[in-house]
Amino acid sequence: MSAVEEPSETGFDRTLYDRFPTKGRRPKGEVEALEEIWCGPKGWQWITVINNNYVGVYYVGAAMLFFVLAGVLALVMRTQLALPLQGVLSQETYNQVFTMHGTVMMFLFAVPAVEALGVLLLPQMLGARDLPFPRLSAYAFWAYLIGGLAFFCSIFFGLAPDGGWFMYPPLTSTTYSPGINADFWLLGIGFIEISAIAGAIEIIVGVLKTRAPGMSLDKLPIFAWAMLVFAGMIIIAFPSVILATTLLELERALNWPFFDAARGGDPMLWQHLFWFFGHPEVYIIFLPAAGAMSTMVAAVSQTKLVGHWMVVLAFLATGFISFGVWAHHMFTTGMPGTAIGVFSAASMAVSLPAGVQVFSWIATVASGKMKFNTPGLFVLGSLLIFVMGGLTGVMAAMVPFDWQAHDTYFIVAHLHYVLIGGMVFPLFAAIYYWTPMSSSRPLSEHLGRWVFWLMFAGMHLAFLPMHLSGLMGMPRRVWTYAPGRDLEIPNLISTVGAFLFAVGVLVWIIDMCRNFRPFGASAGNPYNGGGLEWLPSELYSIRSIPVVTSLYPVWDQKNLARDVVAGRYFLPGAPTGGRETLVTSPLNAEPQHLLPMPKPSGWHVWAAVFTAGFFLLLTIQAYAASVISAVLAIVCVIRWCWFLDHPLPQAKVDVGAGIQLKTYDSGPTSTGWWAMVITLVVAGMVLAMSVFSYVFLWSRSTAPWPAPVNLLPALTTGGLNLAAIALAWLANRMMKRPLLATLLMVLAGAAVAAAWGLDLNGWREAGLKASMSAQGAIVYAMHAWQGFFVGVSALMALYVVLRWAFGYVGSDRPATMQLIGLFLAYVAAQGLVLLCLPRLLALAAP
Amino acid sequence: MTNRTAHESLAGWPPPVLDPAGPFAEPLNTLTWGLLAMAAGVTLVVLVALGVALFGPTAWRRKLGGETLIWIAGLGFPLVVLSALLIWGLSLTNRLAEAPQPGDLRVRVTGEMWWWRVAYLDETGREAFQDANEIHIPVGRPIAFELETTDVIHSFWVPRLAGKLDMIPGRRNVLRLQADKPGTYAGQCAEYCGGAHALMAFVVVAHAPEDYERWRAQTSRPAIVPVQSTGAAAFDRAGCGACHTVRGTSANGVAGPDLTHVGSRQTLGAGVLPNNAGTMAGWIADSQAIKPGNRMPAYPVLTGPELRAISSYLESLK
Amino acid sequence: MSGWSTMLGGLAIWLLHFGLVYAVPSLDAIRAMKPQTLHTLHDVSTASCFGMALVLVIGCWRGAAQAPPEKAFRERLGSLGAAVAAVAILFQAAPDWIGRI
Repeated sequence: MSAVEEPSETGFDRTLYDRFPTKGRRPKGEVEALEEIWCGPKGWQWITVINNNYVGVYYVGAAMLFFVLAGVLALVMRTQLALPLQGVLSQETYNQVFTMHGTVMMFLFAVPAVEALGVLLLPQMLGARDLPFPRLSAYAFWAYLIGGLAFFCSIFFGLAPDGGWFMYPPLTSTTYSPGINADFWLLGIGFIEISAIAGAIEIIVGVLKTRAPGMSLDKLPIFAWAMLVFAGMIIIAFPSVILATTLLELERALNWPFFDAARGGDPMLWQHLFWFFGHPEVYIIFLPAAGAMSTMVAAVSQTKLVGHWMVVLAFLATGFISFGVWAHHMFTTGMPGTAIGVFSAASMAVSLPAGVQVFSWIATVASGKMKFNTPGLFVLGSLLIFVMGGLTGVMAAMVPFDWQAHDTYFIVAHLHYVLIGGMVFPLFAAIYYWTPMSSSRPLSEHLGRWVFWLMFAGMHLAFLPMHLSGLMGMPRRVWTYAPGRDLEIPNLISTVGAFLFAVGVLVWIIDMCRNFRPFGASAGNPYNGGGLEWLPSELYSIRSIPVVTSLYPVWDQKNLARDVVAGRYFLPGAPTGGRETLVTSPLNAEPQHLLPMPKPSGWHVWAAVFTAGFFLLLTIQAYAASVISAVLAIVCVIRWCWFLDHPLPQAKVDVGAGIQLKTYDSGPTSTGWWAMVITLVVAGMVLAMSVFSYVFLWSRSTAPWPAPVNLLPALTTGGLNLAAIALAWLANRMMKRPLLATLLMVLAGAAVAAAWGLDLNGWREAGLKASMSAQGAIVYAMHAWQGFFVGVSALMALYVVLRWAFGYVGSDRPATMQLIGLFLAYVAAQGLVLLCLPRLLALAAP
Repeated sequence: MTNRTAHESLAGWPPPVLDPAGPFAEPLNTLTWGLLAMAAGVTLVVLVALGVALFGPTAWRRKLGGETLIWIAGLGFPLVVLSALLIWGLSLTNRLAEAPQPGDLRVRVTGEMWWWRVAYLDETGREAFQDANEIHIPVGRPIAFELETTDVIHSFWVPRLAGKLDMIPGRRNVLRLQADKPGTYAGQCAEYCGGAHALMAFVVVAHAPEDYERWRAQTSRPAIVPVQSTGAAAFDRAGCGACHTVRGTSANGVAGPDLTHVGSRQTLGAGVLPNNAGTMAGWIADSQAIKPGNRMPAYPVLTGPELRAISSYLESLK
Repeated sequence: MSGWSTMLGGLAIWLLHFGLVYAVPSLDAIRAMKPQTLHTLHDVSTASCFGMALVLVIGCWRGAAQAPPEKAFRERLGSLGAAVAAVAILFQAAPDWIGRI
């Protein structure tokens, strides 16, 4: 330990921490007030509820529902493949079923499941009352549930997509997939991505800004670290697939040739965009599970995680390096040798962090005394399965071996080992481990053992033989295979294994039905975990938010539970009289202000319903209805936002021990600012990927790509965009004069709109047609993207005018204007990129 | 010329990846075994470490239970293994992905939903003649396959001769392979290409050089059609020539496989059926039942005698 | 912000190097260049990124020694992160080097 204190991050006087735990009695009625404010739902309120204790359980439940549904699809497939030339499924149905199995498992189970785990656990682990944007996570949940169920139902009507979960064009173009099946995938999944991104924003801001005081990064629980990296990766990776699905949908709906080689497009562009998302996706799924594993290994071994800091670094390194491996799904596409070598090297390098994690877990097991309870068994099983899957992954990262293994059952085996060992087993361990936190009864240890052994045995039986069938030449995604090729035996064994695994899941469902009793009292801390989530808690989370001085506060901080329950720490009551939580600084978690939080209301649910409605109606080509649905969704969102940015009468309140904190904040210390910045990072990533697409298609073109040559409109466009940035900035300087500020902001919106229109007009006058060439397609796609932002800017300008009309613009509430200013500045900057990129490339052309 | 039948060549045991038959597959076999050994070895190391961590004597467990283990086993050990593998993998990639050489025999294979158009090229790269779903090569010399597609992405894979390479619209990929011994080698499409992807196979038949020359001379010739063949007439009447070419006759369609020497092929329907008069008749009558979704319509209108005539005519095209 | 740049600096250098080795051969596709020029570009990128990573490894490790625990944690992350990045940089430079043999 060092004697020198680091200077305070925020100017908060850290000696104030010494006032806790406070002495003396708390006033009467404080707990009752908390209970009243955070009361559970009744009747219809079960739908409008936003408390993470409820939404988290719903969310995990929905994810597990999709796990079971996709699992049933797997069983149907395994029945079809048990013997050669079976007729259980027709070729057409099988192709839909395997596409749905992969898609549902990846998009509707794996990502939502870990996100759900985060929603459920993070506030508890961080000592927050709730996540910073509870309605946003509820919105994300409902959008996902409604969209997911509707998407899944497409299989009952034979309308399910059948292009594989990777949806490679041209197979998925209108020429070869004329039905709306592919549109279900493109619109359904594109939309569920939005829900995942909403959840990721929530998680990043939650982890960075709503931790218990004193929980500096070195005391941040390993699971929260994992969730932080996970959410950051979603922010970087998902925009790529959103762009890809948008482009393919544009190609299908409007005949814009992004991927059509005959008109200068390139199907390889899809593969780059898809796998830039698709491979990080695997780590996106794996990291939270690894975080949960690291937590549970320590708990079941009753010792601290050995090399905690190295594991944190491993997560961070995985997060970075996984963005350099996407093309290892493309080793057989004929990319040049040196290029694929780079991806092969990064794929090797990404194994280093995995090694750190595995041996940290082993060292932890060695330094403690492992208990063979159900979570313990799942942890050990997971470790073994994951190592095996990781090693076949190293094999597949070797380019020449991949030339043989790629697209065979060897890869099917590999990916199931990695995903089941790296995600499903940790998830089951987590369910057994954390159920006592949110259920009044723990799950059965007896049944849990059965679940484990059935799943463990079934898993190996199902997937070990697939390595062999792959080397025997069985390609993936085949609905049947010819007899007499010796493939019968491994396939039959795989089928038996799959059913054994399913029996394990069935036993788990029985266990859940018998013992899972959420939303009431908790069953205590049977596994003796060391994190804050094991403090006694109610619907308002913990009674008071402790000063954290250890990575394992429940183990290391004496009398913590007693003092927390007695209200001897931060926020023992509800000083503002509403829902609220502490906002702390990102590095060292010093208290910054109090965040008032919303009460349940129906608007986010309706917003989710209509958002889902928009996408689904669009899919079935009911255009008028879908537009109505979109308008209703926008109305709901605006109504939802209307609740925001209203300062409380009390500017400062006592959050315990006489410490006064502000109840309103704006700028970089506020949660809203963070959320907006992260949203703009998402938008910026879409822009970056579309710039990549532009350059990629441009470099493939044999003919030059001209740009409009008129200087005057170009200069005007640039000038308007720069003016918009200045106006938005100025509006924020003029908050003391609401009318002027409002006008300036509206002008800024008008400027970006005018700039956009002018630039677009330049292309049209130059005679560029979207359906004629890849350049036309990508130029107009980028302008369509900018047009969407201009539309949102217009809505925001309207919103500012509305707020002004109600007297809500003023220097006492700068947050809304600040965020809208940020947004407009971003849109203007994006307009500048659109202006410059094609012209620069036209100049660079030889 | 070959002592392996098509059926034997397709059999999955020994696994074709581990049963290489040429210099482009041989190193992959060595690599596969090396990697399998590495994977097994590392799994064993982890198992032993885990076993000791769980059940070992206290002194051993104390040794394992610290950051030193992570430094040595989690970072150092993988670093050494991965570096070695990387160098092996990269140098092998370079060696195998060598550009085609001037002396290579050139064959253009075009993926179609769901069969293979095969064009044999002359020295100048011009198409000499076409065939389908069966590729004949001489042993002992590298063949450069120019891989293209007319519709969606396919992947060309003959595991005993080389790794796979995709056929991508708008691109031409070149795969080199070589067979060392005469024989029949199974191949199939490895990239999901919709509908009947599962049933898109082919065979590579390797001949001794002089046999190959004989085969090439024979196959490049037009078909010899018996005069007044009822089968040929029925073939014409049914409109088969709209999609299929039989060189030397009026049948000159290009949508489907070239049938000039269809009788000499080992399989029908892109590796789906053995080739004889019975399967041929069955295929013509209702190919949709055999290979659902394929682009050839069923012909229930043909009478039994017509079917027999057409199939024996086609079988006669050797 | 300096807290974050310490922690993530090494990994960011890796990212930079990845971008460079990915972009350098692409330059060739856009405008034909001499192989020697490309190799030089590649080597200069690699050497400078590797050098920066090494500096971070040592700098952060030293920084961790005297820092209070919160800061030491970040410095140690930065140091190991830069070390992993240095290895990854060598790995991804290898294809070009081996390609020249």
